[in-house]
Amino acid sequence: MAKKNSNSNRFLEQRRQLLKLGAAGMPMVLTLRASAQQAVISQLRCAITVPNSFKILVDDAGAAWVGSGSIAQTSSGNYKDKDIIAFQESANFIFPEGSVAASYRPDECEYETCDPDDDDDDDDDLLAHLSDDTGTYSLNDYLAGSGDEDDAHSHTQCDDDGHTLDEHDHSIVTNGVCGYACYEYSRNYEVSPGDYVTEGGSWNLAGDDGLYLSLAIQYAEENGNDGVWPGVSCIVSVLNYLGQ
Amino acid sequence: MPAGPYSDQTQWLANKDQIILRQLDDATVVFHKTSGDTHVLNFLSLAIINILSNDAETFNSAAPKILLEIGMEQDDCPIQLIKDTFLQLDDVGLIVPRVADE
Repeated sequence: MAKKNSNSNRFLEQRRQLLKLGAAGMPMVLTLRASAQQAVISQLRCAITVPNSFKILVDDAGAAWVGSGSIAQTSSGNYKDKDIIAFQESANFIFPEGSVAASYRPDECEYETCDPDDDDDDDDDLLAHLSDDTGTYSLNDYLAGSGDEDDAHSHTQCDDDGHTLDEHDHSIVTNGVCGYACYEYSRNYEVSPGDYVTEGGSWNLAGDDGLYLSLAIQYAEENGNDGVWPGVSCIVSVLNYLGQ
Repeated sequence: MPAGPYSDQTQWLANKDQIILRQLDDATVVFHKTSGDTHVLNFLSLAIINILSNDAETFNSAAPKILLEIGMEQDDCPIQLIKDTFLQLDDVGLIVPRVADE
């Protein structure tokens, strides 16, 4: 009985101590907003993992193609015309001109001199194509005649500055095609969009991640969660958090 | 959010339909459905919730009942502390002042 009273007294004393703390200003209600805060934070904490390797091809006008095709570089660092065309045709996502920030666009390149009066059908031109070290053209392609898609390259077209143009109006240099930059992303590429959100609630995109995210944001803004862009739900989540 | 200023005639209510209570030793965890927030109450704040969930009370009418509920005297639990706790509960929406036409 004495022990029970002792426990009761201790219990009351603990409560008195607690009330004294309350009288001194300690809150009597402790609020845990963990659930709400975690919901907000999770919108920023999501991460994107892309299981397969992919490339983003950017041209000098800010258009972009995203795909997994191969693009080989020539010894001069330019890309082979046939690779560019194949990549563009098989791209999973295509973004129009102006989609990519200037900092990601390729540098200007050296142009080959263009002769608009050049006759494609003469023997000299045939030999020139056969010896083209871009490897774009084969004898059969050349002999197939006009109307063939590849044959479009055999007709010399010049821009206003006298540069030879490919069928996409990009200037062809002596060794490969210029006007493109290719960004490669390895398999299991990971990016956390929230890392590129400033405290002020705006994007601060940089590096290869920045290019990927800038296109992902554009895609998400157009397609929302319905899109097939890898990690689009994460992007949408962050956009929702930012109120964009 | 508090909608004060309040007077001694202000009546207070706690809507138990809007909360889920779980007792953990001498503390009580309460989830407030309206705000989505979770709160930890001690025996005093819980007593206020219990008293005000039975019927609307003014502070003066509720205070003696609260002291009785917690088994303490006013010497141990100052009236001002009870009043402050009212405001804390009001601040998080666990109790609300009754509007005039209710």
